[in-house]
Amino acid sequence: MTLDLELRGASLRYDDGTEALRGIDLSVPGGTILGLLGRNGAGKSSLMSLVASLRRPTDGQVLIGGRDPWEDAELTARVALVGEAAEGGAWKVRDAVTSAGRLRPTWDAAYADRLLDLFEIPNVKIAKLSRGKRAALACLFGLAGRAPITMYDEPYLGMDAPARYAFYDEVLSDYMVHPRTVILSTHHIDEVASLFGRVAILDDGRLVTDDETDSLRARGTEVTGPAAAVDEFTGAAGLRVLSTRSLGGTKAAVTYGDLTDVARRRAADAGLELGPIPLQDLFVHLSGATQPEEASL
Amino acid sequence: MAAFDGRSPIYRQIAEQIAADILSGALEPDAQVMSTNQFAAHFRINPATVAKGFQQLVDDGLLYKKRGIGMFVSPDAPERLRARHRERFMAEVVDPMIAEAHLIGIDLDDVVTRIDQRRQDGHR
Amino acid sequence: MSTTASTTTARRPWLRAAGALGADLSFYAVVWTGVGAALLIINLVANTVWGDLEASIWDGNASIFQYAMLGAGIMVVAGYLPVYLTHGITRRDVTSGALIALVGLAVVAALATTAGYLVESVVFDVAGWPHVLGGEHEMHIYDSPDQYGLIFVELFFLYATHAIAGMLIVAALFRLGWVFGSVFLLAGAGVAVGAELALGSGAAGVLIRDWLDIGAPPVVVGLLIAGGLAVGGALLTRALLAGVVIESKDAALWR
Repeated sequence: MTLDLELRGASLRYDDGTEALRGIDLSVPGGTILGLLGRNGAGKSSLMSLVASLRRPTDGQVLIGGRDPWEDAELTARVALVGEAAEGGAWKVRDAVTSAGRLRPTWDAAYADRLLDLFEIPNVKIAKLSRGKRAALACLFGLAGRAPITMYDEPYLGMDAPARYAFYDEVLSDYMVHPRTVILSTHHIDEVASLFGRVAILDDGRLVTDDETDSLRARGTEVTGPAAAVDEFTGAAGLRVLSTRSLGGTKAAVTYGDLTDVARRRAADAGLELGPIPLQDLFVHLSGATQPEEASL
Repeated sequence: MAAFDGRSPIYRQIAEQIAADILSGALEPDAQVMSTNQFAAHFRINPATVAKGFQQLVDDGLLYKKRGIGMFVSPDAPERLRARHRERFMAEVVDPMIAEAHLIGIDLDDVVTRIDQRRQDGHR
Repeated sequence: MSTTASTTTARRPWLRAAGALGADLSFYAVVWTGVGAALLIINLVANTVWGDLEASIWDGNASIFQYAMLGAGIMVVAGYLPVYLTHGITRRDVTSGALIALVGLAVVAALATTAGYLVESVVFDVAGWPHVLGGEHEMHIYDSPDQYGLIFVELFFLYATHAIAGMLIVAALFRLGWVFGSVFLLAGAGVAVGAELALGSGAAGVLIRDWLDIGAPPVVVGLLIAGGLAVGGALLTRALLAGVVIESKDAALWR
């Protein structure tokens, strides 16, 4: 069974006055794999902490299955937030896993055991695990917990590529057997983009995009040709120009907006070339970054 | 990601790839295609996206569903695809060639002559 | 190895939290049992090799356990609450579960400490040592190491109040921050020291009573005061934790 998630005008102001979220309206139908994108500090973690009821919105509402989840045991038991890598502790890995199993009604202990093998997490004190293994352990809590809404706050950043891909494969294969809502936050999207059914982009506490991944992809177009023709075309087609590059008289504009077949033909007639742009580039432009962020590996 | 780039909509890329397999004969008429879930797991793609790509192929008459069993290549799928590509060939290959010839001052008769020559050389 | 929770605990999450905390705290109890045993041996050796055994050794030893309970109270809120919240348990249920687990632990610890007096009496009997309470102070609601019922009652109240004091202190720091939360250090200390004063036990209680030159209240009054402090402290803790906010950076699933 899946659960719908909705944020209505949700805002979060921290005690120091920081506006972490400004009136977020976001609807995530149950069973969606959502990519929550944004630069560092855009509000991704804040948004997830509201959904996990770690914090309360200073304004607006969070609704899970149509209800406020705050201190609602039935709902909070069905939401999980996996932070970025478990910190060290005197706990042994297996004890920590056993303890988590006692708390989650939906926990699958056999799956947790399989994941310990898959990620090759040794049964030592958590403090003794490498950063990558601690991250993998955090991912294990999310996967084996089987919470109908499971959020991952970039735990994969600390993992090496094979482990990350193993994690993506598990998210997907487990999702197909046990459909649930999965929210993956990241600012490093190319390797996971194909997993996302929907994408939400945050910038400075505001939701700038919320759409199906493929619709978003279809909406990004690079228009290349003589500078004057490019300007005329983008203006007439009502496209939002996200960035431009010029070389001599040739201009390339990264644009955002729906293109009709008529507009496409008009572009061809005007000698303009239309090309797709990678989702990562689109994200970089929409999220207000001037430089593509490098993956921190 | 193996076969799919981050550019044009993935569901369209999926449809195009399966169409290419049908055209090349890798997928024969009435052959079963991978299930949505197998395809999603294999290429690490959201199953809803895969389903959308498959649905497009069903809408185009290239695949048909057998309830509870899976999806199969339509018997006339290769013919449909060839017909579709024939249409496209004129629009996407021949028309631009004519435009280009006109632009650089090649007489269309010369082009036709050339085509005849090649045909006699054994290109069919 | 754990399995999926039963339907009973699925319907009563506070019971699930209490069970999990009880299991998680059992490790802590084992450690303190070891510490208690080690101290006992050191004291026994010191008293028999360098001195004459004139009174119960366990009586002096046992007073460390209330501070272990204070530590358990601190640990439950500081260490487990954030983790339990990210595992989907509500603040209310963590608080209820923690109170149940800590009161349960207080019962077990009080029983174990009382059993320590019993074992000591057997050993002292065999060795021919006098099994009486030492010191000039009126230290307890009991005046002989064989009043097991009274011993258990006093220890239980001491342990429970100290555990709650520990929870209260961290709950205030979590909820109100370091500046205002520190004020509640006094409230927390009040619960712990107040119980010691009321029951006449514990180092702080004895020192303050000597300084003020007051005696212990009648047993029933002392128990009522200690019980009132425990309930008051628990309610205050619950109120403080009801709206507590957890930083998502603290919400790493295991700390």
